[in-house]
Amino acid sequence: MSIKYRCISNNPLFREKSFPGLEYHETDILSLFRLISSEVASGSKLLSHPLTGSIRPDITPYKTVLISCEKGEPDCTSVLLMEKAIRYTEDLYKLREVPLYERWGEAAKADFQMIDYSIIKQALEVSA
Amino acid sequence: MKLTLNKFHVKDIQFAEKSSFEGGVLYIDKAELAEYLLKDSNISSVDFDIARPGESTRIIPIKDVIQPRYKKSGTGQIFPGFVGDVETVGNGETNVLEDCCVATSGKIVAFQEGIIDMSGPGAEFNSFSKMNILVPLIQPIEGLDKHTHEATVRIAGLKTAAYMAKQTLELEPEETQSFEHETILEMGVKYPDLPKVIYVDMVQCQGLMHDTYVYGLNVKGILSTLISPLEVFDGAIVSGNCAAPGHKNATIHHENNPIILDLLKHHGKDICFVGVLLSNESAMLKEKMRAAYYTSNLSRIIGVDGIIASEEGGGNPETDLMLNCKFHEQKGIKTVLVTDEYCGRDGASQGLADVTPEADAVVTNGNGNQFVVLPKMDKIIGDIEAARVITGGNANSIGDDGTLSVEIAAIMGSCCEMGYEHMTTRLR
Repeated sequence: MSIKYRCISNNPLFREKSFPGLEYHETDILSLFRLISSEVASGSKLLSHPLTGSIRPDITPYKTVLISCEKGEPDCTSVLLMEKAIRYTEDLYKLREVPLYERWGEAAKADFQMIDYSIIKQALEVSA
Repeated sequence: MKLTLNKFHVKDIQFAEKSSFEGGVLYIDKAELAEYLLKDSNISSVDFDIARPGESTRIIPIKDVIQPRYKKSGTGQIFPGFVGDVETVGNGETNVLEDCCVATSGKIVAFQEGIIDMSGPGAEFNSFSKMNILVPLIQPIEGLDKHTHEATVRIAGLKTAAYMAKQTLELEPEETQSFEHETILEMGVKYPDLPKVIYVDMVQCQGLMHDTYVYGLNVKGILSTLISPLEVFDGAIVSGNCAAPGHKNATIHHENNPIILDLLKHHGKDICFVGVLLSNESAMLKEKMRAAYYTSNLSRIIGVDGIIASEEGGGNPETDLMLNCKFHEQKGIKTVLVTDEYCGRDGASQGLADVTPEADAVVTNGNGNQFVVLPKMDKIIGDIEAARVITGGNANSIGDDGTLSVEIAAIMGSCCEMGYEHMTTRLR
C-alpha cells in the first residue's frame, strides 16, 4: 500500500516502531516547525494540525506532523497555520530561560512520546 | 422532555460501618465501595481519602472530577454507557449531591493532571475547594497498558459517584430544580418570534488522555450530532480527557454545563434555546474542516439565528473554534465563542493559537500562564512529586519550604472554557 503522507517527527518512538512515511529529525519542536514551514512554503499541504493534543509545545519535547507527499501551489491555510504555530511556540519558549521541555526525566519523556504517537495513530485511523 | 434534579446538600463526608446519607452527612462504607470497584479485574487495590473545604489539604494529581448523581426515575441510568446501559437519559428524576464531588487520583502518565487546594490562595481558583471531596486512590494491576489504565480510573470514578448519590434514593430532597425542553418543531410553533440559539459544545477526541465519551462512545470520527441539554445533565457526556487541568472539561463541568444552564434560564423568555450540537476536535485538518462544515450545516438546517461555541483544551482546538465561527458567520449565523488564553506571565503575548476576523464576540476565562505561589499544605492526598511534571509545573515547582510555584494551568478547572469559574482576561 502506498503511503499518502510524510510523517515529520522528532519523536523517537516513531523511529522505534518503523512508522511508515517517517522523516525523523532530532531537534526541538520550534526547529521542527520551521522545517515543516519551509516544506509547506514549497507546496506541501498540512494534513494534521501542528499543535496536536493539548500539550503545549513548550511542555512536550515531541511533536509529529503529517504533510502531503504531493506538492502544488502553496496552500494558504497550511502556510498560515504554520506561521501561527511558530509564533505561538516562540512566545511560549520565551516564558523561561530553560524551556520546560528540556527538564523532563526519562519516564516523563516516554509518556510524552506515547501520547504524541497515540494522537497520530488515532488521527490516521479516523481519517484513513 | 422533563427532568427534575433532586438536590441534597452535603455538609460532610465520613467513613462509617454502613453507607447512608443522614443530616447532611454522607457516610461511606469503604469496604463495600471498594468491593464494588474491585469487580473490575484491572484494579489491584483501592483506598479512599476525604478532603474538606478549609482544610490544609492539597490533592495532586487529579484526573477527573465528577458530581455524584443517580437516577431515581425515568429511562436509563446515570453516565449511560458506563454505569447505566445505553438507554436514553434526560427525563424523570435524578438525585444529585451538591457541594460534593469525586476526584479521581493516581498517576497514569507523568503530566496533564491537576491540583485542588482546599484552602489558601489556590482554593480561590476553583469551586471544587468549596466542596466535600471523596478521593478514590486506584492502583491498577501490574503491567496494565496506559489506555486501559485511563479507562479503569475513569470508570471507577463514575461508579464511585453513582454509589454515593444512590445513598439518597429513598430520601426526600432539600430542593428540586425542574427543566423542560420541547421538541424542535414544538419550539418553532411556541416561540416563533424569539431568536433561535444553539450551543455548539466542542469535545476533544485525539487519543490517549485526549478523548471524550457520549453514551459510552468515544466521539473520535463522529459526524457532529444533536443532543438534548437534559441528557447532558444525566451524564451522557463523560470526560476521558486530561488535556491540561486548567482548561479541560471534567465530567462535573459537563453535568453542570453553565452555558446550557444559562441558555435554559433564558429559554422561552428572550431566546429559544434549540439544543446542543456536539462538534469534535480532531488532530487532522480535514476532520476539523468536516466537523465545522457539518456543525454549521446542521445549524442552518435547524434554522438557528445564533450559536454559542465553547472550546476544550488549547492550541489546535482554537482552529476548530475559529472554523466553527467562520463557517457559521458565512451562513449568516451570529457566533459567540467561549475560550481561555495563554498569553504569557505578563499577558502581553497573543493568547490564542489561531484566530479569524469573524471572531468578534469572544468570552475568555483567564490566562493559563498566570503564575502563583501556593503555600505548603499539612496534608497531601496523592503525590506532591507530581507537581514537578504536571502541566503548569516544572522541576523547580516544589520549594524547600514546601511552597508550590505553578501556572494556574495546573489548577483543576481554573480557566474552564465553559465559564464554570470566575476568571477572565481584560485589555489594559
